[in-house]
Amino acid sequence: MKWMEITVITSQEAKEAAADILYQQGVNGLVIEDSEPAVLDPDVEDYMPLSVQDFPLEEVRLIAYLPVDSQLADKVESIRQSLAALADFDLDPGRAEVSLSEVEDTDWATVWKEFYKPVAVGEKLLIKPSWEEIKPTDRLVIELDPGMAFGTGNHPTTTMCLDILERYIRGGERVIDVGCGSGILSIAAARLGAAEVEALDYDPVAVRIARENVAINKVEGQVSVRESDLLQAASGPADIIVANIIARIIIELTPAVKAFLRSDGLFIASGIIGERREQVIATLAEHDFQVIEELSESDWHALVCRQR
Amino acid sequence: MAKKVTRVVKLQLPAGKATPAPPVGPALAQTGINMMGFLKEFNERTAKQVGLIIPVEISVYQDRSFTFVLKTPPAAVLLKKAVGIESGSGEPNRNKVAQVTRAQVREIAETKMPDLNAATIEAAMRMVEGTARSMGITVVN
Repeated sequence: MKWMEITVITSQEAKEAAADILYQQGVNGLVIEDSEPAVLDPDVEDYMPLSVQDFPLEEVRLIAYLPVDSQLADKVESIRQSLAALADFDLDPGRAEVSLSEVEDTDWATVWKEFYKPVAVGEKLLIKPSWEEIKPTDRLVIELDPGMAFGTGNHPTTTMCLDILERYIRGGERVIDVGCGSGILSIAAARLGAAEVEALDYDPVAVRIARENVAINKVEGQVSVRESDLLQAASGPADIIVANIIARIIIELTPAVKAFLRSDGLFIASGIIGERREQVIATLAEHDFQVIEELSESDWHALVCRQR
Repeated sequence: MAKKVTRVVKLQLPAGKATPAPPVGPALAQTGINMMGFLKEFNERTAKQVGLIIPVEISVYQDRSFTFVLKTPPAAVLLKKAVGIESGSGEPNRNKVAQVTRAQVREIAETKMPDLNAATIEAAMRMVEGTARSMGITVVN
């Protein structure tokens, strides 16, 4: 089956009416591209500037699909006429341009899986999506499917933390994972030998997903996942506290860390973007933490700290 | 966890019944997010609104994890609901199918206001009124 991609360029004012014109012809949904500021999670501070090429500045692009069949030409003609006629209803349709491009049907349900392959991290770990078969390995395998919680193993902040955990966990530790996301670091800590791990996240979706991942990896005995605003629901003291969040939250979290950490414990602070690094280190020093090791990749920094 | 938004994808999809077929497939394949995971979650969250089209904004993070927010239904859908019709007119210039009051237009504009790129409520009302007329719905006082 072939699809015709129909791109309509219209004005902001006419976008709702133009969308309805497409629906009248039987499209089953739309893609909308415009410059309207996207609503971002207010807790997300460090975000990349979105590319102007992806978002037309003045106009709106509506993209819809219809099957290529004998009725297609009539439907497209009807869309063109209705768009041009919007001026009759006191709406400025802008360019009202319609362009067509044929799209081969693909196995859309599985094509995204191409992005995920098993990833070896450090000396001991291997992160793999559930659908990938792997050869027998000496590495500790963590099964994790990407989804609605950060921590797929595809980001330097995650892999740096995994690398650090792998080198500092000797067995039997108590670990607290603040902002656990998908639970990847907690699962890794458990597989590396930590006796007890508390995985905390303020986002109920992350908590649900982390619980699922903990169960898939059969570490429920060691890892407990809880909804918690930073360390609020934590029960200390821990040998290691790991926080792979963002600089602003690390700064907010730091004063509370000491109360939940053994005197010889480690605080791993990650998710720190280059320009905020100094500020984070200053805050850590203010609260008697000394950086004993630092990892950096692609302008992201992970700091391993001990109390003075 | 450290999040960086690399892309925001705006879609309108049938509540409770979205599938990987276009527009979802081509729009999301390039982002590399877990498409089936998204569809399952979207369909669950919109299951009670089956029959409506629901706009959704997906934020894709650097490690290809994602979050999404649901928005208010399109103006045309709210108009049809307000005046009790199944579909608009095929010939909106000649064949009028319903009437909508300015008060109803204002109500729809107020509902849609957070999601429309309109500076004022008057501009939002203008969009809704134009949409109504283009569907063969007459706007009355």
